[in-house]
Amino acid sequence: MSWVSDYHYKWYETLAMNVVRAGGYIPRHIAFVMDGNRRYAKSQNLRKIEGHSHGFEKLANCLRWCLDLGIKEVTTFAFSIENYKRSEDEVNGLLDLAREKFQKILLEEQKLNEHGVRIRVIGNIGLLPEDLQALIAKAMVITEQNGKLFLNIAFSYTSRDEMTQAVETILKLGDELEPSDINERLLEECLYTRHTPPPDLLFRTSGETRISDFLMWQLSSTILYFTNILWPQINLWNFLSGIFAYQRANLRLDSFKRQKRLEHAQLAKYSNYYSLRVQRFLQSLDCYRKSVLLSLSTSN
Amino acid sequence: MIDRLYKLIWLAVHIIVSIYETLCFLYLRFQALIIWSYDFWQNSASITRRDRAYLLGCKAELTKLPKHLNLIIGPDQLGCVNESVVTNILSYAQILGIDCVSLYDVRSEGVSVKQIFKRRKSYWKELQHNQFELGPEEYESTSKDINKNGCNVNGYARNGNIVGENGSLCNGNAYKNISSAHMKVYQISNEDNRPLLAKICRKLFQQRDTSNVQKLLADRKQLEQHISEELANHMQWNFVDPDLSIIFNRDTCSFGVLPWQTRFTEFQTFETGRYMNAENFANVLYKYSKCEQRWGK
Repeated sequence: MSWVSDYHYKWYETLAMNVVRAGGYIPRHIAFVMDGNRRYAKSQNLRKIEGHSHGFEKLANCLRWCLDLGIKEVTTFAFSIENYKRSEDEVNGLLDLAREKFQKILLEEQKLNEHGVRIRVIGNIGLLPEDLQALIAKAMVITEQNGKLFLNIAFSYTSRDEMTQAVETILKLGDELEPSDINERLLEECLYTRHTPPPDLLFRTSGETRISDFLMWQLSSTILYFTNILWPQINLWNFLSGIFAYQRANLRLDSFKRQKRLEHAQLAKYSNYYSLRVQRFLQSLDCYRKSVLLSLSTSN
Repeated sequence: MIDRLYKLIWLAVHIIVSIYETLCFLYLRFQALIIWSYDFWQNSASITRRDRAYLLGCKAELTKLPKHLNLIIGPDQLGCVNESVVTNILSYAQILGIDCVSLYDVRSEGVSVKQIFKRRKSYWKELQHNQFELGPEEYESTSKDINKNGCNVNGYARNGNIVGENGSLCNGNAYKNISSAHMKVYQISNEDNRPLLAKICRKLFQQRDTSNVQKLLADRKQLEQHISEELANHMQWNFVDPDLSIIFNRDTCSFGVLPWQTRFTEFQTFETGRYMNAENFANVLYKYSKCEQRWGK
C-alpha cells in the first residue's frame, strides 16, 4: 500500500469534491488523530496490528483526498510517547509497521516527488530504535525539496514533550540570547513545528472528545471536529463533512482568527523577535537540526 | 461556468444547513423560554432546593465527576453567556462537590467572576489576583421540599430512579448543607496560557548556570516535571488539570486555554441557545461520565 493511494472516485464523489472545493475556505493545514484502529480490529476479529494496517490504508486515501482538494499540509498523530505503555508485542508491532512504511518511502521516492510530498517527522525520535531513526531521517532528507503537500508525522510525540524540548533548546543553545528575547513567539519557533502554520482543522475519529496531548500549543484557533466513526472506517463523505463543517465555522470565526493573527504579528514586532540576535539563534537552531538529521540519515 | 454551478450547489447546501441550524436554535430558545417562565413563578429558594435534590440524585448515578471543571466562553454573539449562566454553573458545581471551576472568557467584555461574587450572599474571598474561594450558600430545608419518598425533584424528568427510591440519599446528604467544602474558582486570562510557559522559560534561562537547572537539562522528564510544578506554583493551590471543558460557542475550539494542562481534558460543546439549568448541566456530566480515558494504553 502506497503512502498516497490511487483512489478512484465515482462520478458523484468527484461532484462532491468539486462542490466542496468551490465553497472556498479550504483548510491550509489539517491535523488527524487516527483513533479507533484497535476497536476496529476487535470488532472485525482481527489482530491489533491488522487494525493499524487498515488505519494506514485509510491515511493513504486521506492524503489522496487532501492533495485533490488542495490542502497543503497534513499532520497525523501516528505514535504517542504515552503509547510506549502498551504491551511489548503491540509496541514492537507498531515499530515494525513504521519500519515497513518508511522503507516504502525510500522505494517510492519517485512517486512522492511526482506528487510533491514532503515528509517531516515530528517527535522525540531519540526514543526510537536506531535503525528506525535512520530510516526516518532518510525519508525526510530525500523528500525535503518537495513542496506541494507537507506530511508531518507525529511519531514518538507528545505536546508536553515538544514544549519541554522548546524550553530545553533555548536553555542549551541560546547562549547569545537575552532574557528579554524570550517570549511565546520565540518558544513557538523552537517547537518541532517551526516552519509550519498552525492547523486550521483538527479531525479526530472514534467519538473521543479530547486532544490527547497533540499539538496543544498550536491549536489556539483551530476548529476541532470530532466524529464517531472509527479511523479504519473513514470514507470520503466523513472527510468532506469535516471540511464542510470547517468551511462554515470559518465564516463565523474569521474575525477572531484575524485578530489572533494580528496579535501574533504585533508580538513579533514589539518584542525582540526580529533582532539580529534572535534571528541568528534561530538560524543556528535550523543548522543544528539539519546536521542532526544528516548525521542520522548517513548512519547505518 | 461549471465552477459557478459548483459554487451555487455549495451555497444551496450551506443555506439549507443554516436554516436547519436556525430552526434548532429557535426551538431551543422556545424551550428555554418555557423553562424560564416556569421558574419565574417559583421563588428562588424552592428552585435552589429542587436543583439541589435533582443534582444530588444525579451525583449518585454518575460514575465519575470532574475535579476541575473548565468553562470556555467563545466569541459567538448568539451564545448569550452572561453572569447568570456562570452563576448557575457555579451553584451546580458547588452542590455536586466539584473542587475547582475555572473560567476562560475570550470576549473583550466577558464575565467577571469577581462581579458575580460581589452579588452573592454567601462567603467568598479573593485568595490572590483572579483566584477565589467560594463558601457554601446559605440553605435551609423545609418540610415542603420532602415528598413521600423523601425527595422533591419536581420540574425535571430524571435520567434515573435512584433518588427517592428508598429515601436514603435524600434523607441524608440532600437535606443537610453538605457542600461545606470551599470551592476554588479561577478566572483564567490569556496570560495564564502560552505566555506563562514563556515566563517560566525566561526564569529558567536566567538561572541556567545553576547546578539545579543543569541537572534538569540532563533529563527532559525532570525538566517537564519542573515546568508542571512551576505552573502549579503559579496557581498557588492544588490545581489539578481540567478534567472537563464546557465550550460555549457554536464551533468547537479550545481558544488556546491552558495548553499544558488540557492535554487529556474532555471538550464538550454546549449547544448554543440551550438553557443552562440543572438538568442540562447534569446531561453534560452524564456524557463526561461515560468517557473512558486510556492514558495512551
